Amino acid sequence: MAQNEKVDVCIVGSGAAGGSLSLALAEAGLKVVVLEVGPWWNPLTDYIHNPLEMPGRFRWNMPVTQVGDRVGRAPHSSWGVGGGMNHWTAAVGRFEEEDFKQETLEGMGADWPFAYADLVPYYEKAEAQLGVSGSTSGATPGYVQGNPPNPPHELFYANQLLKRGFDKLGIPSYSGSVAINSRIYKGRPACNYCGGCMMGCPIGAKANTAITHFPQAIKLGVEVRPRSYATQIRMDSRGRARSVVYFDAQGVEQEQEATLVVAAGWTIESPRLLLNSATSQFPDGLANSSGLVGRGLTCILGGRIRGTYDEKVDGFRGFNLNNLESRHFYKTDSKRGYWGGWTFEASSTGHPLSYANQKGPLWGHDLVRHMATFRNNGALSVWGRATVSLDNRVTIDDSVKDEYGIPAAKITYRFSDNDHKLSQEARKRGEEAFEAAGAKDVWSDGPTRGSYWLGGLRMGSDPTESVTNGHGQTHDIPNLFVVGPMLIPGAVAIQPTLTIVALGNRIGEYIANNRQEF
Amino acid sequence: MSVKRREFLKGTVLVAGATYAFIREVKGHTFGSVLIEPQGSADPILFDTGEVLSIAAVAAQIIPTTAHPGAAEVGVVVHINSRATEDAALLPQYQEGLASLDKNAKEQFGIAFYGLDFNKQQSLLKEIEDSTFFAVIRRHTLEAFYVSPVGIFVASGHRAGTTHAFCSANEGFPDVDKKPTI
Repeated sequence: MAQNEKVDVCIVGSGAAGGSLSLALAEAGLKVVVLEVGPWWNPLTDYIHNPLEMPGRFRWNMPVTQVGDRVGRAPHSSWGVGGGMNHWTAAVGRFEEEDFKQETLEGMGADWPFAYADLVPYYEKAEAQLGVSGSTSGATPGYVQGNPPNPPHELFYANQLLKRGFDKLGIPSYSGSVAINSRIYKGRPACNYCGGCMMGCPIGAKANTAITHFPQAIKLGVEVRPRSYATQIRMDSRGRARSVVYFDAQGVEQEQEATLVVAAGWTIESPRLLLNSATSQFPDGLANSSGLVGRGLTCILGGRIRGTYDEKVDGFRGFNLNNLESRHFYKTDSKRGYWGGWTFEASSTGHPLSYANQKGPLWGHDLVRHMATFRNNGALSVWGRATVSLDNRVTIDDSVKDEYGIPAAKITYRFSDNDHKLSQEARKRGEEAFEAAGAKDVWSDGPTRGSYWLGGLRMGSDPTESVTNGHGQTHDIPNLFVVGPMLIPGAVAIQPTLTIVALGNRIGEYIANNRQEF
Repeated sequence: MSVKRREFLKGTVLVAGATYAFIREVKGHTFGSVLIEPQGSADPILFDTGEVLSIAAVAAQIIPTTAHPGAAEVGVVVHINSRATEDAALLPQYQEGLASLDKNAKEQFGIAFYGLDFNKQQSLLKEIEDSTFFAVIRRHTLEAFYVSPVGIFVASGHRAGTTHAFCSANEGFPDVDKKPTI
């Protein structure tokens, strides 16, 4: 096994978490190595807006077993420097204050070990780093407001119609926040509204740590190693993390020693790494004295409503999500008869290939008639707060191994009755908005798991009920940290990426300020 | 039987030409997709001529040509051949599905599926529309059509660029907040 010179910090993963953390550490003068399993994409030549080509490029061909509501293979989050930010929609927003104390207020999930107010300075830094565009006023009264550095985008034509529907129903809605430039910002251009965000932004208008964080981090000395697949965190005789073992681009096994190790990969892969790193001293996996590594995996409940207008709206134009937002139904309302709530976010009509399958397996003239409505169609997403359950979890599957013989991850996940009730009403309310807007043919689907996994390595104050403290430091191993959505102990209905970047900034500052202790 | 692409094209043109004359005489139907030159693909053609004609006929049923182009106007056969080259399990699935379709056609109407008129082809496909084979060929036909510049133009009214789905590279839609004008 090839050895590498010891560094201060070795970070596994280069997405929102690894990118923001590495820059924060580099700014404090720490020597950092970042291991990324995927390549470093060239936006101009590698991002092709072809749904047959690009999803395959983005997908890491790593097996993940699924049981529960869904069986088979899971789509992996995209790989490459920038992680999921290569294909993300860039819809962003701060979490609500109540999200941080969900157990106390609503008996769901677990409280965060700090308050919303503690994260505000880091949210502001994250918004500035990503170049968030959005409103600084006008959000629904009673809900938090971000501080985006760029003005909000104009409402797209399709969303102007949908907003009329919301207005008629008395549901406040507004141009939502996105990490997509509404004007030239920090050397990156304004969005051209081409509609291809989820297949990569060739012009760099959409934020991605590959362009928002790593260029500066590298100038400050951070070393990023693409095509480096981390398989194990090695421990020393004192029960401290010593190094990360990984296979490099040539398949050569390498060991990177570090004073401090950070698991900042995907929500599914980070628990897998800790579980696969079990030793005689940590037989159930690293940092798992609570038995909670992998547990409490929570999705954001997805759903989609579509409506067809009499006129062409060309809803495929523009970025893919959150040009129009409403958090009107976010909070729990006991009169609705279930826990939780949801966010509405207008979405793109998408690609014709996707639209062709929206009403079942049509063919022949039925398909031709359906496709004739493509230009008249508008779409709205719902994101619901899912029930938090420790039974929903990531484990390792000894029966499925990768090319190096490392056991794959297994996701066990089931929707609750509450999830179905919430999703049903959310979609019904969305359908009403389309009808009020004048759409004639309205339909919806859900719940789906969306694209966001939270939890699995939850943070908290009590070592028996959480894996890390509020700084992402594992309770069991003082020089092993976690950064990412895995830390989130409750349910939210807002995309987590802005919060992940804020957490990366906050944890980076903590590590830098306390480096002597590690 | 597998043949090299050049041989396949030559043979297909001849066979399709003969078939075309016959079909046109009977029902005025064409198989344009058979004759599309593979784009940037040197994959050997895995299907025999009868299978190629049947795939083209099924594709033309799935996305029929109307006032706008349909699957017959894009290279569905070439796309399916590429898919079958990538995934070895697809070839026998296609061959069995097409053979079954032909068998039904001959039992009910006395000739191969691709030789039937539009309505008879449609009635045979309705019998298998819930089958795995039909789901596969439908999926591949939709892929070939709606990812092609032809299909994107038919659906969206916009011309795809080399890297962008709906527009020329970096042009975008600066008028996204306005009612569409085309």
